[in-house]
Amino acid sequence: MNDQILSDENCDTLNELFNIGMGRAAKSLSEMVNEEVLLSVPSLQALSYQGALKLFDGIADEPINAVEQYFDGQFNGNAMLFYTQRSSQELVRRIIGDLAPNENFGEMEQEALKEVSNIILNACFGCLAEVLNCELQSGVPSIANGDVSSIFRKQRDNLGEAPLVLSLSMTFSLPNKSIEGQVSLIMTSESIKKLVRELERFSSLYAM
Amino acid sequence: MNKSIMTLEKVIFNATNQGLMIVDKNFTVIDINQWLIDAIDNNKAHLVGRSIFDLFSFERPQFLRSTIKQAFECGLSSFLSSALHPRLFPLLSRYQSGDRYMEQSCYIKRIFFNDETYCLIQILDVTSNVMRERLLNKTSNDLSLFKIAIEHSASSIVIADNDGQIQYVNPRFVEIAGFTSEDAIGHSYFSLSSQAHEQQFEATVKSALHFHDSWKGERSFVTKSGDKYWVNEHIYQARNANNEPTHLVAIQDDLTQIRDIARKASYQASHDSLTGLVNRDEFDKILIQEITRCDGNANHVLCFLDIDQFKVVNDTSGHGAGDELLRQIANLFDEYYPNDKVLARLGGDEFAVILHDSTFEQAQKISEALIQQVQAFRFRWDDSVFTVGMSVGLTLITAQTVSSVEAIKQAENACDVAKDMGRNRVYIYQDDDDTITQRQGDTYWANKINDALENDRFLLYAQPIVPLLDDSKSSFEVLVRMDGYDGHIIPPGLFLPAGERYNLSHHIDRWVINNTVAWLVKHRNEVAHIDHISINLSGLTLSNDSFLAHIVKVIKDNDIEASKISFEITETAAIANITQAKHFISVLRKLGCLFALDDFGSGLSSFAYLKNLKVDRLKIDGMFVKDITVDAIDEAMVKSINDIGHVMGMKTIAEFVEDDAIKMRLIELGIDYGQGYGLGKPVPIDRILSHSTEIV
Repeated sequence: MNDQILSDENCDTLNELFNIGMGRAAKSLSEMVNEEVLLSVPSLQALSYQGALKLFDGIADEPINAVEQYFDGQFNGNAMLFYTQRSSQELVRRIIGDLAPNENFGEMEQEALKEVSNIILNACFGCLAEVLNCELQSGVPSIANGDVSSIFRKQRDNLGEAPLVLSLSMTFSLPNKSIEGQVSLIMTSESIKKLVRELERFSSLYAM
Repeated sequence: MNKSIMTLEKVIFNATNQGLMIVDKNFTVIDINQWLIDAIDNNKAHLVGRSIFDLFSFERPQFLRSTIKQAFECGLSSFLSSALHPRLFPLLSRYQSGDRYMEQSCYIKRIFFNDETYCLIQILDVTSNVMRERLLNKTSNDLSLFKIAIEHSASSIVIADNDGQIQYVNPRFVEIAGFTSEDAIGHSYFSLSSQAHEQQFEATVKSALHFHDSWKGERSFVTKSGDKYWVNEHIYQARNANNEPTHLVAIQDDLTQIRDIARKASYQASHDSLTGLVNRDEFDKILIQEITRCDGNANHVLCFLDIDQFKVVNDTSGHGAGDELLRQIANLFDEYYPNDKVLARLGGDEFAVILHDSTFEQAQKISEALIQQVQAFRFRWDDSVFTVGMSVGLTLITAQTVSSVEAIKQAENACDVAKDMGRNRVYIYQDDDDTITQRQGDTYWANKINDALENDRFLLYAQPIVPLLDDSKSSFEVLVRMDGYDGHIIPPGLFLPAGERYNLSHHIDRWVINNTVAWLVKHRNEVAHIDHISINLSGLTLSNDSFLAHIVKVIKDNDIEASKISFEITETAAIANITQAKHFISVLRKLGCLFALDDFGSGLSSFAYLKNLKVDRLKIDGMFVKDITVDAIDEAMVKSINDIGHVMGMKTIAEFVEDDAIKMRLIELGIDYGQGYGLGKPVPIDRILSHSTEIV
């Protein structure tokens, strides 16, 4: 799938774009929490829906917290950022500054997670739109808890035949601590084709 | 859009339970809903047309500005959480009384209307959620702390429902009771007890809980494996907000250890740590009880036991040996007496025993048999073998016994008399006993001795020491007696021990030497048939330098043939004062006097000492001799002492030769001399002169 839809070159370009977006998100998060936050996207994969399910099952065999946000414009889909429950607790605790060993993951923590994820996803969307010079808007974020495949399956229904998934592993680096998250953009194959067109247009601009 | 829908949307806009505000690119308020107007506490006319940055003083206006700009320019919707932006809009909460600021969650998104782009700011009041959340966090933090405290508590904690069905047990309970949570949960708390009347107890506890909300007590439980354990238990009634009883909370503190310690402490307080026997305090208490319990019929006998020779063991082989001797003797006593006896170590080498429902006759028999056992007992320590003896005093415990102290004193006095009478015997206390009455002054014999010394009331007796193997001359051992005024002669067993106790023995020794020498001088011509005269010296005399000089002087001044005089010192006295003894012996032997080691084998048969003590004769302790015809061990002892003595160039003398059979046996064994009733009783010394007819 990777070979057919996204060339290595396109993958590299996208990876680079997301890295720029992450850099921006890290900047605003650092300002917000008064602590240096680094975000990086070590790898990007384009997968079939089934392939993505398989991958995610391997990544998280425990319940997850996922923040979803749809995006719409020249291409559209659903973006999802998810963490294992332990990672999300760790992340939120560090960001809110609550160090108490509380096993609750309450409403306030969920909202904080939602906002942090919103910042990251928006930064990525913003970067894509800006660099590719295309129209891209996003909806408000919402949160879902449960096991990764059931959350992921809910998305499936609206995505027509052979949806594709762009999957990025993401690492938050806080002082003394790294927390893993997983970003995935789920798009119809049609949308992916549009994205590829935009990427190629962008590449051709700079290839000259 | 038509007008009617417009109106409906407007109605909804104002009726919704959240703040809605529409701003344009310049952050100017275009519209604002009633909820937010109320929250701002102002009127609409004042708000519309003004920039939100004029209307509100934000903590971080720049952040909001860029978020709104991002919505306008890129169409990206944002969410601002109460956690990261506490009280973003400075508004007062309508759900809380007082001036409480509103905690908010805000959504910011781009909207289009009439070809214009606007931004919708949605404000949700989450104050109560935040407060609930905080309360929940606090409660849950508290609970985790309480949980930690309960799970690490040194007390067992059990929570049960109101019927006693267990709902929770802490790890300490699991540890002590051996039941896991799974074992315990669902079972009745009251069924864990080892108490017989479980239901009755449950009723008692429930009634206490009903009236006082708590019950406290000590109870025993059984572990899963069936072991019993004791706890200090505290059961509380837990009640809900309506004061209805909901749960029982039981806290148990394990008492097993404390009980063990208490038991140990009380054991230690009442027992002698060396022998494990009852100690003096405890014996006293028991005796008091026995006296109180005495009725007219039942009498008990109190025996006071004193070990002879204990001091010798202690002095020659150290306290370790002394302690071990006491342990072994205590063991011997413990096995000897019947099970219902009360046996105590009163201190030092003194023991006491109460024989229940016993008469003097029975007690005397029992005691005499025990003395024989003690005498037959051999204590081995390193290379040494010791024999010991025992004196016993008896007194009756009846309803008339005045006090425990008095009873012990009576038995002790009787024991002292037994000792004075020559040890290894039993003496019975009698209320009107003169011996004891007089003894009770305790200085009685000391006074008697002083009186005898001053008034020259000691008498010299002599007993022959007869050669067994040839026809050579006999010698005689000089013995001392006291003239009892009323005509009877007091045996040395009565006054010599007191003499030792009151440091008078060397005075007696001096008297004996002076008078013996005088006797020899006086009868110079009548003693040719006597090989030599043997004089006993006490241990105290040995260590007295001026005494040695005195002996030398007396012999020289009187021009006595030194070889006519022999000195006997006991093995124990010699060893206890080994350095002085060696000096004493060497000085007098140089002069020509003879030396004999008395009672050899009685205290300790340390043959090694023999090498250091240059003596001429060994007197084998009569204990080995008297049963020589029936006891193979005694015979072997006598034989080996004889052999050793001969190897070292000493002559051997057997004491206690009571009959011909013994004499014959001794001859067979090759013993050089014999002494005893079978060969000649002690007689007043004048009767051994050559003209006397009474020589054996």
